[in-house]
Amino acid sequence: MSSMVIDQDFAKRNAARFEKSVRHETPDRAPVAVNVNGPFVAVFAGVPYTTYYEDRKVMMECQLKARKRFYNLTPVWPDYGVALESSALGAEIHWGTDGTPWAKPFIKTIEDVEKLSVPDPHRDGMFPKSLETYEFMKKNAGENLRVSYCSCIGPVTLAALLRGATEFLQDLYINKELVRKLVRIATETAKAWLKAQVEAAPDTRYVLVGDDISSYLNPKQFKEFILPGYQEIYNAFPRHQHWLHNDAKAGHLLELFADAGVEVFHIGYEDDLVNAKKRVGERICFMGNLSPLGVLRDGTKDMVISYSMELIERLASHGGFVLAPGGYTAEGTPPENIDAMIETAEKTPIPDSI
Amino acid sequence: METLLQKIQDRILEFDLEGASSATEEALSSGVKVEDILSKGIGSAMGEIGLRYERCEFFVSELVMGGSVVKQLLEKVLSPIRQTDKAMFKGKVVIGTVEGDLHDIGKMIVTSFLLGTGFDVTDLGVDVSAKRFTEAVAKEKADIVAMSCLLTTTLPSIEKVVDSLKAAGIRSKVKVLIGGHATNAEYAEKIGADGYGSDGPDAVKKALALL
Repeated sequence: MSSMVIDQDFAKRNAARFEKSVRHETPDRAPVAVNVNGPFVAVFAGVPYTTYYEDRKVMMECQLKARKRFYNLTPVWPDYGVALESSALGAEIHWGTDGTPWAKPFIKTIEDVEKLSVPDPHRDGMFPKSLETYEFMKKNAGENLRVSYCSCIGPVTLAALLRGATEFLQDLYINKELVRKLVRIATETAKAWLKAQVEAAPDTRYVLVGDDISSYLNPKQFKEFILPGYQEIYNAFPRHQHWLHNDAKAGHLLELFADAGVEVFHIGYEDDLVNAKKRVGERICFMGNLSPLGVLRDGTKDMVISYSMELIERLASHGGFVLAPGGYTAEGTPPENIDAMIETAEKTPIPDSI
Repeated sequence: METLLQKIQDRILEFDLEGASSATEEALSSGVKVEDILSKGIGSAMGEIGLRYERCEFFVSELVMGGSVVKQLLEKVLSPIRQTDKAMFKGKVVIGTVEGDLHDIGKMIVTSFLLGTGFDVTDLGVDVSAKRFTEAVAKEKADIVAMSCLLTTTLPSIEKVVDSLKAAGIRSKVKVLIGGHATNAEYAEKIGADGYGSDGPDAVKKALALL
């Protein structure tokens, strides 16, 4: 523990505040989340990306190191980036010069889509590797630690990874049948993969869909091609909280996300949360939205405190708000700035009402 | 002439490539100047797409479709004519997504907007090394080098390009414009870039201001 403000019981208190906020009740203090992914964790632990992704023991140790430093707020989870689902559908995986995995688009025609079948999570692509990593982490991460295992790439992002984002967006205008078929297989893949994770980790409490590219669609396109798939995915997990991550500008789709069944939305820093809360704040709990680069990575500690206080004062009454980065924490973010965000959440009283 | 140029603009705004091509051919055969087609037909359409995006009437899918129509239109109808009169261009841009990053969409949108506004653009593609950027800037005698970067993990690739331009002794001859989800105006200033574009329309404004 590096903070004078945060004690050993903070994570427990924070979890209770989180649940209250999701129920749209005002907690005693705003809950806070530290959303991290592989690049931040690997850099924080001083390990090359390639080693992090290749060696599950290294991956787990890096995540445990971050978790210990950030007051048990960051998760331990099998982390194979955005390439997992694509690999199971037959995409060639490209390991970037920075060491992170990426899928090469390979769908050229509607016939290519018709050849696809819903992957078997226990057999195809990198899915089995992820399941094995979950078992490894469950066994080795520590007795009282719940390994997080409950996320998938959403239908639009998966379709765009398989087809190419530019091509997919053009297809929405000129090749609608291809879009329908590709989104269908992407939706089925998301459901199958989440189901396999929930079977492996029955104590999982939420399902998280990560779908940044859905923001590129206009509302009419989203409603016509994507909304039914989102509803299907979330409805398949009625006992779980329904989370969405999308840190591209998503303001134009908020009502549709609410209609889809999204309960917790990790939203990007470019969206106006006051306006968002006015529109769908009774249906969605927003998680965000400090700028990961401009404030958290490049800003001063005072800047982080000031922006955090402003968000809490404007948004935390009546719940429906979790203070967090508006996107994933960027690699190289000073730990002191993350401390400042967490400490501000712990210290700032919530106005009774807005 | 007004009606013919309006027709080009309307077809582009409907994302109708065939219609836009026919309208452009009709304008050319009626004696409308290429400069007018570029600025008052295609350029106006791109401007209108940018305005509708700012007003949240258009979204990224419309930027991509509009950009794609304009790009194909320029290649199909206007490329041969443009080659013969380099003076009509507003400036020369070398563009690419930086090394390690395979995202194409932002770069594609910016490229289309620059082309539609009358820039001569050389698109180097994605995953472009500092060496390739530098060689292209020197070869094309570019006024602007534009770099797209979506991943925070590949931000150092932008800085490598700036360093490479300095090492080659051509940094002072070219303006550096950056954009993409991993970048912002503060970062541009920090690494010594000359400008930051937040989206396609904004990149055009910044490019024009840099000339």
